[in-house]
Amino acid sequence: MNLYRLELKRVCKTRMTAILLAIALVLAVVMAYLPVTFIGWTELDASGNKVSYTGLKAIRKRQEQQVSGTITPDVMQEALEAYQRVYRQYDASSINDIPVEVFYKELARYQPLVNNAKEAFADPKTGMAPGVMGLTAEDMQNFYSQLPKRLESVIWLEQDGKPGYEQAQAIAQKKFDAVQKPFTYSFGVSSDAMDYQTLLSLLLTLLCAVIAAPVFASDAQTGAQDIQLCTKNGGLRLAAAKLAAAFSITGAAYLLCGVVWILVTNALFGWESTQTSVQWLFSVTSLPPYTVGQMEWVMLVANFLIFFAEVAFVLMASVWAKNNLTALSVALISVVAPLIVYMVVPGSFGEWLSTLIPAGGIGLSNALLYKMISFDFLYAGGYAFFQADVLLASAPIKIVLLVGLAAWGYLRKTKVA
Amino acid sequence: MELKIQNITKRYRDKTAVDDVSITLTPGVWGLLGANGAGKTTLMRMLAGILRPSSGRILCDGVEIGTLGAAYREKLGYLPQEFGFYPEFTVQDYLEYMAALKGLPRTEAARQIDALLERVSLTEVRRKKIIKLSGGMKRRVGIAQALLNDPEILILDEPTAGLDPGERVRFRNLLSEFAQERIVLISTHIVSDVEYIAAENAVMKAGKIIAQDTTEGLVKQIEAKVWQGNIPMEQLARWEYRLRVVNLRNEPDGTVTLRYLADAPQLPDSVPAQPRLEDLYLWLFPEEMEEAK
Repeated sequence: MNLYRLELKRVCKTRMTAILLAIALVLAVVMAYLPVTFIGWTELDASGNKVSYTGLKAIRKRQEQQVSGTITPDVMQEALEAYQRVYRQYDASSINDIPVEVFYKELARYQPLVNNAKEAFADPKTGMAPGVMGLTAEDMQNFYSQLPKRLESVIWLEQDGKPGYEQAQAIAQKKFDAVQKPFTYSFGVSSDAMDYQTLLSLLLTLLCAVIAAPVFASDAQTGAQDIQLCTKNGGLRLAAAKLAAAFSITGAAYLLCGVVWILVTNALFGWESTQTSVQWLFSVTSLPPYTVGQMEWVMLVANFLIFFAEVAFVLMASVWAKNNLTALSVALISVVAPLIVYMVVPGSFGEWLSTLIPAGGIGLSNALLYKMISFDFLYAGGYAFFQADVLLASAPIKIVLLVGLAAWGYLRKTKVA
Repeated sequence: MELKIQNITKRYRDKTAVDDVSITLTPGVWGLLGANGAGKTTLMRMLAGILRPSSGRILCDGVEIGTLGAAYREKLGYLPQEFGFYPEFTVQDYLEYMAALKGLPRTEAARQIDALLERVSLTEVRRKKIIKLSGGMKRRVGIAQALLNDPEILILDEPTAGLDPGERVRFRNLLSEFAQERIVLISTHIVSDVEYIAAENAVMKAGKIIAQDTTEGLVKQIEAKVWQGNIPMEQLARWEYRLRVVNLRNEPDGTVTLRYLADAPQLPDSVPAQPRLEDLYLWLFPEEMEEAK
């Protein structure tokens, strides 16, 4: 315990660690604030002039006029009728034909509802969504019963012909059954914000990889390890203390920044919006059975698991590296490896590889969030596996395996004589 | 306490760094002498248990050190040639860290750290970051950490590098006190560091131990091979080229007194000089003198 405390003190006293942790905290706040600036609102003032707002003021304006609470079929119908009335009034064939101030005054509050209705009633063969005028009041009353059919067609469009397709359909339907309906909605936290949570996770992983990479490698580089290996506790105990300290510091930094992001995001967008079903943010058939608020925490914990697997890999590389540069290079490459594999290696092999490498689930378009809200399945031996499930299930195994390899690699150095 | 090295060899791809070395170390200060590249550091790293020998065994009181594992490391104090420290640590932080590594309880560690800092004259700078200390002070921190667990076996690789003459004297006295009932092995190519305190010396050359004895015993090998003679200054260049000159001293009358190594006197009126360990070293490593020339 004393060794752990001293190792913790040593890493925390490193100037680089202090700088990186400060950057991480600033990033958490910036990443929470940036999506706020994407929100816009336009209205006419008393003189009839257009006035546009962005940021917090726009959010408050939208929230004043929002549709809020449980979105029943009747609310869906009300939304469609409002849209169709305005479309008819302006003889519009698309939203671009509606004056912007009218859009904000009359339709903005219903936009996510109508967009999701269009998605729900998309052509099952082509995936093409109908126009606003192509939807009926009856469709709106059948909105929720239409969703499983829509899900089936999406899976068919994306996965048909793959061995294990039937199983993929069953997995998706089972997951969607767990989604609470009718959905709830309140304007606020946006999909952009969730994107930024994912981006923050990537950046935090990069920063923490830089903190973890020298933990063992710098001792090998400076020769400090030679002295350590000659001491009573310089074997497994030191390895355990170093691993525990590295996990503690990077883990605490990650969780602190993640929590700060959630608190700042929700404070800026409004806590009420955390009750919104995630289906309004991404896709009407998204599988996570969560509200936005729940999803934020689920993503924090899930990404944290994957983050720990990556830190474990970086520490293992640090044990095996003979200098900081090697450890740091391997660490940084390993963080972006899933993204590179995802873009470069085609087919099923690439999908499995990008999932099973230590940082699988960290990245941009390949990140865990997008695997949770999309319909990506991995196939092996005629079986289908939901990729997000594999990412999450494999993370603890990776952690145990990589920590074991790190400890084993270090112990090998103590058993040379 | 006995540390027996049996036929130790360390081979690298294209070089044999230590070649079939056998020696038994008993309590007392041992000097390990040799030119750079003689294999001293490799031998010490194997003794410290951080380098695997290609063949041979190292036994501590009859048990292989690999088998002893942590029990052997508990007896060990080691200062490598390149002393890696944590730049962000103060002297106090670093010694506390090393004390924890050596398994000292916190109160005992605090007591030992206070005493050692006093002995190596670092009490004043204990709150200073190591990176801000002079080379000699850093070396003393290294010596302090090696002594922390009151080791029964102390291995010091070039411990006096960077120390000024006063520090060297203090270091020698410290080791002499410390070496009671303990094995202290000091590798150096600064002969005067071990000349007066080493009970035994081993001389390494090209990976082999070519001589092993007390300082007096070793010095006997070059009795009647160390000479002193006086020449006019204008002849210095000629004789310096021809002789293995250990030392030269300018005299007030414009002549130069040379101390040199040779099987027989070479200068007119040469007289035998009292041989010292340094003379033996230069006798055994003539290439060091060639480099100096």
